[in-house]
This record gives sequence, structure tokens and C-alpha cells, in this order.
Amino acid sequence: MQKRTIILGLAALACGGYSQTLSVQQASARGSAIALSLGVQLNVTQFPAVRTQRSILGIQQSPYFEVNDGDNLMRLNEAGQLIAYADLSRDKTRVGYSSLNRFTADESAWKHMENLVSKVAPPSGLFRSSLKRVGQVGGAPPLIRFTLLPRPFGYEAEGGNIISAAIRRTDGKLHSLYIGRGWTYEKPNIKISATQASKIASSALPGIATWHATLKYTTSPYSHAPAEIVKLNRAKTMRLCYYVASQQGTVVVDSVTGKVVAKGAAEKHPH
Amino acid sequence: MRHYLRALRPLSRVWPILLMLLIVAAALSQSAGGGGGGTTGGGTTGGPAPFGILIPAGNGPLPNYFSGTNCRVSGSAQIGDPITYACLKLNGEIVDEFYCDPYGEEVMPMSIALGTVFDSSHWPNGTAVSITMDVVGFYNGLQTKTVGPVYVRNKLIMFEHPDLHTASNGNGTVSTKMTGKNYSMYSNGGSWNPSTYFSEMNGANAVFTSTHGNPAPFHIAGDGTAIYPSDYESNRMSHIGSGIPPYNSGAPSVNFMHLYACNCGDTNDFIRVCYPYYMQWGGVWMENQAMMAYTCFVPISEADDNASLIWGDLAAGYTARSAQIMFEVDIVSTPGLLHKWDTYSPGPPPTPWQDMEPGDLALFYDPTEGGCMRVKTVYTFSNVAPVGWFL
Repeated sequence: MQKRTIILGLAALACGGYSQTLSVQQASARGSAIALSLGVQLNVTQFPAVRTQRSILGIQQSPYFEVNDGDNLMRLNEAGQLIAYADLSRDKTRVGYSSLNRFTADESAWKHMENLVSKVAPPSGLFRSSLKRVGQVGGAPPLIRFTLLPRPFGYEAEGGNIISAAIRRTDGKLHSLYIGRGWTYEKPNIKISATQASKIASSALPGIATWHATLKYTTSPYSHAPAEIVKLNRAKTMRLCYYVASQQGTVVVDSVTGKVVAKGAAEKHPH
Repeated sequence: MRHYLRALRPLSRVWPILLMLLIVAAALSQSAGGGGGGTTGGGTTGGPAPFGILIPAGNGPLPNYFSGTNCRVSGSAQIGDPITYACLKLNGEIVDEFYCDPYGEEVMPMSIALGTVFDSSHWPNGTAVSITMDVVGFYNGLQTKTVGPVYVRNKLIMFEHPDLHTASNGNGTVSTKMTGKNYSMYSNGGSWNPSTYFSEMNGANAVFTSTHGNPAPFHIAGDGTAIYPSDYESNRMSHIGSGIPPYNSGAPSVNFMHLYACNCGDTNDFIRVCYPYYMQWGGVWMENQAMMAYTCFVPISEADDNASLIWGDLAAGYTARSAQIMFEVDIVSTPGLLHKWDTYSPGPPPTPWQDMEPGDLALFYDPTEGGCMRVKTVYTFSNVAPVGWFL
């Protein structure tokens, strides 16, 4: 049996497939355990985890396990770590729409959320970035949204390793939790000045006079991004770039090479 | 069978005569429409239940159209004969059936009702759908009845302001995702005006609109004319006509709208596109209806990417709520994928864009309905993965 297992494993590697860290059954059990720790009743025995892979905008994502029982959606990476949870259930009691507010103080809200998230092995090195109290938007109940982000080498980062969570304002029940993991941040190696970055931006979006540049870690998942950024992205590494902003748009400029990583013009509010 | 006959032994001489009298009496009591004409009621107020095969069940009226993924069909039968088998078919495909072993323990019923919910985009737009009920009686064999046709109406409209159409062509992306899904499609990325917009919406049940928006709220047509939520309401009232879907005099309801425009999701005002919000059978508010819009400034160059994520999942049969969640997972797990501005201050200093975040794409639905709207595969009133074209 042992010899057969080794041969099968080698065959899988030879075919270019990776070895699965968890089996589907293990993923189901792990998902159930994680759900319980978050205070969620997830029936994974009837809705077993499905190992799947998603391509978004032509970008192949890493495989993951998904459990969806109609009321809860959960995703685990191949190592069994939680990467996403969302409450899909119908709000039969409408408890979220009462005037109750369990967390009048921001600190109590932060502590409640951090206590929940601590149970699912979050990435380290994240700092409190934002807390937003959101009234009823669409079908969602009133929520408190949190974001925790890294500060690599003291600079802001556009995610990568991130916690984005939302709890119901009335009772603290988890509404959604998304966790980004496994990213690293390249040591700063700035070779382009802010002034140079602004000139590059004005060439990329001509006709705009006033630019303002700030440094931030970022990446691009698109194959048409500069080759260095694409290579770093595939290694889940972010580079420090200039976010050069004007009244009409933003141009992201690589602080090492000066190449344009991304650019975009905003819609303007019509009058 | 043996059990059945044993019970009848004391009446063995008179039973056949009694049975014949019963059948004749029931046939005579059947009103002109009660034989399952299907389009008019008959024999429904007092007295015995209508006799024969009735489509819809209980001799209710047929809907005026089949549109969307929450279409309902039913049939009932009482044929004066114990029933061993019955099935309900749409254009010859069985969507519900019943079987009773005539020699088994189960007592054969004297009446049966069948029904299902289905996705009308199983067929191309405009298809004539006939509804058939086959019933096999123990003594008299097969009886069958067909009614209809009822016509399928599924239409997707895509309107994009020229600025966005040039920068990213969201229409083209939505069209690609929904090709082969049996929706008729109309696309306009030019200088369309509100009149053209609402004229094409009359008869559509899925809408993609990509344009400049304002949190007032309003958005503009291709020619720059402002379109307000009240315009949606007045036009949809006109489109729907009298009555409640799917028995109204006019067009089907809009099941889903994706509005890619700055800040048009700050309030729920644009759900007026979903008027009259209810189905005739009296379910929850906004049953199988939902609307997506944004609570931020959006880049004109990313309408196609947003559309690809959302319409890709919807076309695969996922619900609106599931598509929203998958969108949020995608934007967190893939930094640099989509962008937005929370505020668009002219400065100084001007605000740079940032990655889109959970909460930026708002989904409008009834919380007790759960956001379970589907444009493809049958509506299940839950957010489970797609299950097929009928329940």
C-alpha cells in the first residue's frame, strides 16, 4: 500500500498536478470546525467541500475548497486555512434592522472582530486600517466593516495580506470575512523621484496639469502589466509604486523602473 | 390490487353499477370549462371538484408568458379511475411525475396534482411551450391533455454611454457571457436617449447599463439626458400594464439590473426598475428580483471587467447574492484587479484610486428573499449552487 501510494504521488507530480494538502473529506471537517469556532452552524456532512479552481478575467486562481450549504459560503485554501466566509442566509427575523447597536464604542467593535478572527489563524503583521459603520445598504443589514492591512517598511499597502470583515451592528454576528494570505513585500529600492513619476503620469494621461504622487505597495494581476510586475505578482510579491493622482485619474508608476503599472480615469458626476 | 378487491366484496353485485353511475354523474356535473380548458375557470365555486385533467391544477388560468427562472406550471387529474401513473410535460419533456405500483402496498389515489418551477430560458426566446399531462388509470388506461402554447420571453438589454463603450465596452463582455443562454439581446453603445432606453426595456427581464452616475441620484443616457428613478417607475408601470406578473396585460418584470455608474448604489432608488415587485401568487417582495449598483466612483475603463465577473457567474447559474460574494472574494484575493475612488476630490491634493473593497458593490434585494435571483437555471429560493432547469 505504501509503495502504491508513493508511485501514485510521483505519477501526480510527473503529470504536473500538485499534491493535495487536504482531502475533500478533511476539508469538509476542517471547514466545519472553523465554522463552529466562528459561531456558525455549517452542515458540511450533507454539503461536502468541493475542490475547485476559478479563472477570473483570464487569471487562473489557486485551487481552493468551497463549502456552500445555501446559508453559508466558505472557502479554504489547499492548506485548510480560511480565505473567505459569507453569510448567505435569508434574514427571516429581520433582527439586523432594529435600532439596536451593540457596539457604540469603536474599540469594543474592534475587539469583538479581532477575537473572532483570531480563531482562524490570520496572517501576522496587520494593523487596524479602517472601521466603517454602514447603514442598511440593499438587502444587507446595518454592518460594521473593518479592514486590517500591513505596513511594510512603514509604507501603505494595497492589500495582499489583508483582513476584510463585516459584523452585524446589532449582535456582532459575522456577516463576511475575507483573508488575503501569503504575500511578501519587496524591500524599497526607489530609483524614480516623485517629480519624475508625475511627468511619466502626464504622458500616460495627457492634458492634465496637476499631479500628486504618493508611495504605496501594490501589484497588478494582468499579463499586460510590465514584465517585472508580472513576475513579482506570480511570486505573490508587491513592489513599492507611485500612485500619481490628478483631478481626472490615477497613474500607477513603478518606483524602480518608472514603467506605468496601471492607469484609470474616473467617471465624472454629471450635473 | 387484491386488498382493493377484498374491500369491495360485499358490494360485488352492485359495485359495477354504482361505479358507472358515479362516473356518469361526475361527467354531467362538469361545467363547460371544467374539463381542463385551462384558460377559463369552471366548477370552482362549491360542489365537487372539477372532473378530468386540469392544466393548471384546479383549473386556474394559464400565465400570459413564461419569463425568467421562476416559472410555474401545474396540472391536476381526477378521472374516476385509480391512478397508477401521471406525468407533467413541457414540450414533451417530463418535469414532474408520479407512479404507484398497482400491486403494491400503496393505495392508488383517485386524484393527483403535479407541478414544478422551471427556467424558461431552457428554450430560446419566443418558443411556444405546450403543457401536457398524461394520466394512466388502472382500468381505463392512458388519458392525456395538452394546453397552450404559452410563449417564452427572455430578453437582455445592454446600454452603455459612448465614453464607457469606447473605454471598455462592457456591452460586448455581457453579450459574450450571455451568448448561448437563450436570451434575445439588444445592445446600444451610442448616443441613445431615454425614449430608446425605455422602449427596449419594455419586454426585457435582464438589464446592463453602464454610464455616468450621480448620487442625487440619477444617471445619464448616451446623449447626456438625465434619467431619474422616477423615470424608471413611470415607464415600468406603463410596461407592466394592469394585473400582476405573469398574468399582467403587459411586459414581464425585470429580474435583474446591473448599473455600472458612479454612486448610483448609494440609495436603493433604482430598484424601481423591478416594479411591481411581486408575483401574482403572493410570494415575498422582490421574489427572484435583484439590482446591483455601486457606492463609489468607478473607472470608465473597468466596466467590462466588472461585467465579466458578475455576468460570468450569473450566466453559470449562480444567484445574485452568490455572485456578489464571489466578486468580493475576487477583489480581496487578487489585489490590483478592480479600482475605485471613495471620494473624488478635485484637490489639493487630488485623491488617488484604490482597490475596490467589499461593500462597494451593493446588492438590492429583500432580506427575507435572500438575494436568490437567478437569470439562468431554476430559481430555488436559496443560494445553493445551480441545480438544473427545473425543480
